[in-house]
Amino acid sequence: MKRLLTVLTIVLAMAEAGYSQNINWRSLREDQPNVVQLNVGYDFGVTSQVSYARTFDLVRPALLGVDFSFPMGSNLLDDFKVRLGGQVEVVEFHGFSATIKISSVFRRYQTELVRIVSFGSDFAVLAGYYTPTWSVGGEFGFDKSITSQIKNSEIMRAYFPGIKDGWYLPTGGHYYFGIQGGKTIGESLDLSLRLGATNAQFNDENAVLPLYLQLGLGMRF
Amino acid sequence: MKNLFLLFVVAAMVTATFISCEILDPGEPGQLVPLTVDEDPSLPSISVNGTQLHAETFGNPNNPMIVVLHGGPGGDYRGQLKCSKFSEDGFFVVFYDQRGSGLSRRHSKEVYTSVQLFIDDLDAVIKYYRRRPDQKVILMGHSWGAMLATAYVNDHPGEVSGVVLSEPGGFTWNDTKGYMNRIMSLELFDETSNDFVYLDQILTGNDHNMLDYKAGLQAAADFARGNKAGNAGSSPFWRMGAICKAASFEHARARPFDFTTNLHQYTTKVLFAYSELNEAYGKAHAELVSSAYPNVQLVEISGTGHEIPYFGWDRFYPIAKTYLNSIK
Repeated sequence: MKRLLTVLTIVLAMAEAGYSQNINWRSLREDQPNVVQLNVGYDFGVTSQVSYARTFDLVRPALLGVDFSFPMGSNLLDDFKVRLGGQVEVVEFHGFSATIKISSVFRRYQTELVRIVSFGSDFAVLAGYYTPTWSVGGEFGFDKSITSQIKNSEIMRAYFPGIKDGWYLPTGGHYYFGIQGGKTIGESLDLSLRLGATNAQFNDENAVLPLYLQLGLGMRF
Repeated sequence: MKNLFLLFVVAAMVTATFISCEILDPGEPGQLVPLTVDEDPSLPSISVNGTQLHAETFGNPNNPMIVVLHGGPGGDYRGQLKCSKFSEDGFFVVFYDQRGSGLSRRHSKEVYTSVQLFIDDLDAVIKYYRRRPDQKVILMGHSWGAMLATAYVNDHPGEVSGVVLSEPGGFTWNDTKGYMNRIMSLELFDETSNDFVYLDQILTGNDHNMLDYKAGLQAAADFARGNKAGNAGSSPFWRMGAICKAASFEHARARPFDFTTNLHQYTTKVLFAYSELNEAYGKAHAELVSSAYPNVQLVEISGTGHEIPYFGWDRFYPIAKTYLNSIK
């Protein structure tokens, strides 16, 4: 039963589609369905992020995309995060808008002691006021690291020969909440800012720096 | 339709992968970190002051006693085991993992209400092993262990026959904070700093197994290339005590300590060692910290960083041996 639940959870997480791109629904145009963003900021480390998304209309405005982010350091590719997902505007009333974002998250982490690959999901709700040239809003989300494959290095194995490599479930998660805003520049550029705090799930110990900050420049085409 | 089929295939592959794997629970004891003395009765231990400590001794128990105190809070004595060699020089050497650290029993955060708890544990360990009232007791502490040794001397100046200290952060919270700010500062574009904090999004927990494992992984910062502590590599450890460490730091921030109030009464010579390669320490900080003792032999241990008892052992040993023989 435990294994079945595990598998179901993982499949659901994989099937989810999500994204952390800052989008102002009111500034989108039908002739500019593609959005590319470059973001820098702090997201469990000083990170750079590049993302691509495509907008489309279902019943409501929606977006699907992928982003890749990595922390700074001498080795840029040993740690990274890839998110695949989308967001949909569920409510719009006189400029006020609510959006749901769902994503699957893949993370990789490596040091001299361990290599971890992790699958997870990210679910968030945004609400705010949007005009064609600027937007402001708040967000609340939950980012869950559902399962992680842990492979310990020879150093760890020498210190504790009984240490077990394998898939561990669950391994972590945190809530995040903050504000975000954006400003449209000209016909196709958007500046955006996200700022907020994180809080580890349940009674887990909090992160060393429980904050996030993202500055972004987007281009629609 | 094609995309839907692709999604189905990917989901099926992922499902098959996970079905074929054993799923492990990070909270289950003995998987990511070794068992503690209350979980594994085969480990050597003593029960004192309401806790169970991982402890072992070397040498004739009637000889002058050296109690070795490890760093942290939250470290363990594995990296100081070379000090067992002093048993060949006529000393009875006692090692123990402090409360909530190494392989000693774990406690909840609420237990760590004061540094006094660690002082009382040390006092209980001394009483446990001491054979007779005139048996000399020498404290040998590294880093936080050197701070604890000083806290004990400050409380019991008449009961300690000698003190060997290597790179205590400070004997007051202010001095300690200054040192910590230098050695633990997060640098925005540095691999080590980002490795330290990046892990927070993957591993979270509130049980000792997960938190101790995570603290062990984050200890990679202590020996990463270019580390300020000057460590040449990883020094061995059994198991970090994450709760003990976090609670102790929290407590120190809330109630700053001062272990120097009675040190003027302690006129016995103290051996105070600092390392050549620890960029955050150096002679100036060593002089500042050691000045709280009236009678100090200050020595620089060349060719090593902060982990003097491990990486600097060959140079530290003869100096310490000479000092120990002088007070034997």
